[in-house]
Amino acid sequence: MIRTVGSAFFYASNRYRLRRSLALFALSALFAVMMSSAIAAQTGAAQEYQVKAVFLFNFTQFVGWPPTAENAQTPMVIGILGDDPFGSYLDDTVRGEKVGDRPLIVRRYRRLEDVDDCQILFISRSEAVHFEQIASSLKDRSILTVSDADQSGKRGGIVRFVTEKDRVKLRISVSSAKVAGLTISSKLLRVAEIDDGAGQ
Amino acid sequence: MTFKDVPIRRKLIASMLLTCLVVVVLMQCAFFMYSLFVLHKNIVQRLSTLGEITATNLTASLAFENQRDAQEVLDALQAEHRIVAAAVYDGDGRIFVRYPQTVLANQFPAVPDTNGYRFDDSYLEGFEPIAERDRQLGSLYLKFDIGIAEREWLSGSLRISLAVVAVVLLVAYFLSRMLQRQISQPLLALAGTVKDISEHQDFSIRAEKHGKDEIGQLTDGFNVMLAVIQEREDSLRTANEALRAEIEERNRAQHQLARAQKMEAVGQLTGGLAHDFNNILGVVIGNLDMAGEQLPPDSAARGPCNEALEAALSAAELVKRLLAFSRRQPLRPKPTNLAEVIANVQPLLARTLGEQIRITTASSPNAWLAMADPGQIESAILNLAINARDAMPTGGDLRIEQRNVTIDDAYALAVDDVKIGDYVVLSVTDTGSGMPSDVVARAFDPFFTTKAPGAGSGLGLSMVFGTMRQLGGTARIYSEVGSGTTVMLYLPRARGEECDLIGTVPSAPIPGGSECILMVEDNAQILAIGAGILRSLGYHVVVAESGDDAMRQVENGQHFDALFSDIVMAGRLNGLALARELRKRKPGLPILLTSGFTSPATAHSDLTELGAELITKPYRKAELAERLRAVLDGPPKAVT
Repeated sequence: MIRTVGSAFFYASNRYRLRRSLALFALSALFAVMMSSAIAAQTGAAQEYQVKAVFLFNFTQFVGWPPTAENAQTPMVIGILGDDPFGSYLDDTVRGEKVGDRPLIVRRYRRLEDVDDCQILFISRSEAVHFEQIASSLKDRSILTVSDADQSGKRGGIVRFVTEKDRVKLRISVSSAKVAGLTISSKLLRVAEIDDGAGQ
Repeated sequence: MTFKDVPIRRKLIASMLLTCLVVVVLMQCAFFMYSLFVLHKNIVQRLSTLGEITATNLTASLAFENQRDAQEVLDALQAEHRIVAAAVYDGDGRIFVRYPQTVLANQFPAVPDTNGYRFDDSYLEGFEPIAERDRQLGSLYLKFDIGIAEREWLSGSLRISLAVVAVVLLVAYFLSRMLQRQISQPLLALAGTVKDISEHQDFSIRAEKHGKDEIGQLTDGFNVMLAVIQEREDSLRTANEALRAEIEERNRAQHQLARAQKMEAVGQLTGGLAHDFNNILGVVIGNLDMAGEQLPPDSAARGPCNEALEAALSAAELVKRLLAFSRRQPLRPKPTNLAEVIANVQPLLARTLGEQIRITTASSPNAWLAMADPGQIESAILNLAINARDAMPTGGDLRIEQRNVTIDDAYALAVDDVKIGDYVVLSVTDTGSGMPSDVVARAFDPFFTTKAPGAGSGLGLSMVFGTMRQLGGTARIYSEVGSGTTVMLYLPRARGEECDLIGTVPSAPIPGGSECILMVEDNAQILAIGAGILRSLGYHVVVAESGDDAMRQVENGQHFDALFSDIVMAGRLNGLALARELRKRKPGLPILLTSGFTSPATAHSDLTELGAELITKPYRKAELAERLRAVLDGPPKAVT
């Protein structure tokens, strides 16, 4: 299952089935186009976080966590620290999804101390002022820290969303990921900019 | 030239090459089909692999919506130039990026189809899922130009294929050249043998067998056929040779028969002529003899009378030679010294031939005596000399020689008409014009002459030859045009006691007697002359005009001491019959017979049987006196 901008909510409940009848497919496609254009017209900010939600989900595909942090029995957790900018997008995106055999859930943390056993942590802009403290406290915990706050990479974050010309781009600090014990797929690195705080 | 006329070797090579070509082409076709199948399979495989790799590389680009990166990945496909189009569809089935960018989006399928590849015309196209950890993110569309691939494959394969065909044909050609010998060699050998045989007509040639196959059987059959042909040809040739020999033998016999018949005819002619002529000459000579005796020694008539006598004697000699030639008159051969004969005849030759011709003679000192009649030999020499003179109108040399020759088996075989034995050869050689071989071949034929009409009788050489045959010898001519001619007379060597008689030439006076002679002669004139001669010699003569008359007188008791009778007489008893009759009555009766000619049948045997002597007409007084006296004085004859 794939989540992409515009038709994410429609396809969320709709498995990408190859054997679906042509009529239904055509109808769905038409509906999707109509919906996507309607949402695009709604708001640019909402569209941006829709993309970021999908990206957060997609990280589960290209990042490897150390075995100690990965337990087959426990679900995989995408956490949000601070204010939630996603609304229902992220919940819609991960609903019913699994990584391997592990179900995927979203948790929201108000404070740093609340952050428990999670694999991906989106640090909201509301927490930007404490970013160094958050990053340093989390740096040994095998958590992929993601943020769209300015300079988050230099301040200890691993992945940063950068929005250029209405397009969301990735900046990844390989050294921070190494410290956190995470392996990032070369495929992911190829589509991202390397943003090594130590080097810059 | 059709294929049928092409030599067998080329046919074999061509067949093998054609077979190879067909097989190779068929194999190549199969190979091409298989190769095309493999090519397609490989292309699908390759495209699939390429698609998988590319799809893998595209996952992050698609997941994080990095179009630039996706474009880079797709642009890398240009390394495979046969991929003419590619596109990435996102999870919503929209085109994310496309390759090459020059191709408009509407030329791609609007939405991704099911995964997998399918052939479409000259293209192979299909979709590859873009997935990460079992999660399909989108689809990759690839379009592959099979045409390019097939063209490349075809040009490469065709080159190899043609090379293979060429190599195979080349190898097949050389192999077939070598292998075709196995088949063609025996056939060619057989054909060569046939050609040899037909060219040389030699059926003893045999074809060589190379094996036991059909060609070997053919060779065997051919050889058997040849053996049969050879056998037949041999027998045919033998039969042919025998036939030819028989024809030749027959021709020769016919030739000899014709010659003998000719001689017989001539002989009968001359014999008949001579008989009458001798009677006439007898009268002439007898009367001239009588006249000569009665003429006074000083009479003027004595000269003409003697001349007439000489002429008559010459005529008698001529007739005698005619008879000798026709074998009507038996020759009286005796051991003769040819040197003497040559010496005797030489003065006559000198006179006859004239001063322009030089005569030389040569005799080997220990020459044998020849059984010959000297008079006949003289006559023959004279004959040959005259021929020589005619061949040398402006003069020349004439050489007369005698030598001993022994004819052995080889020579007798080479010249068919000579018996083995010793011969004395008398040769007469001139330096005249010579004769061509066709003239030589006919020179001994009677009445054959090269002289002008009237100049020669054509009997000269013929008579010489006849004489030689009669004497038991032969004559030969060797002649070369422009150089001269040699005539050789082969005379048999005289034997034993015959030689003792040499030199006993009687020259006694004419003997007479007083006995009573019964003279029988149907010619009145001859009877008168003969009786006159006998009476003049002192004999008492009783005459009878025929055999019957003589017989009657004897039965009437007429006394007589000897019989002197003509042989050929009209009436019941001829001379021989009379002599036989009287011999029965008086076994010791001396008998002297006379004839103008004597048939060959009665010539020797009858006289020998009767123990009678023969005097040939015309006879002279002296001869008659001598022969009669010899008969009267001889040993008493007994009836045998």
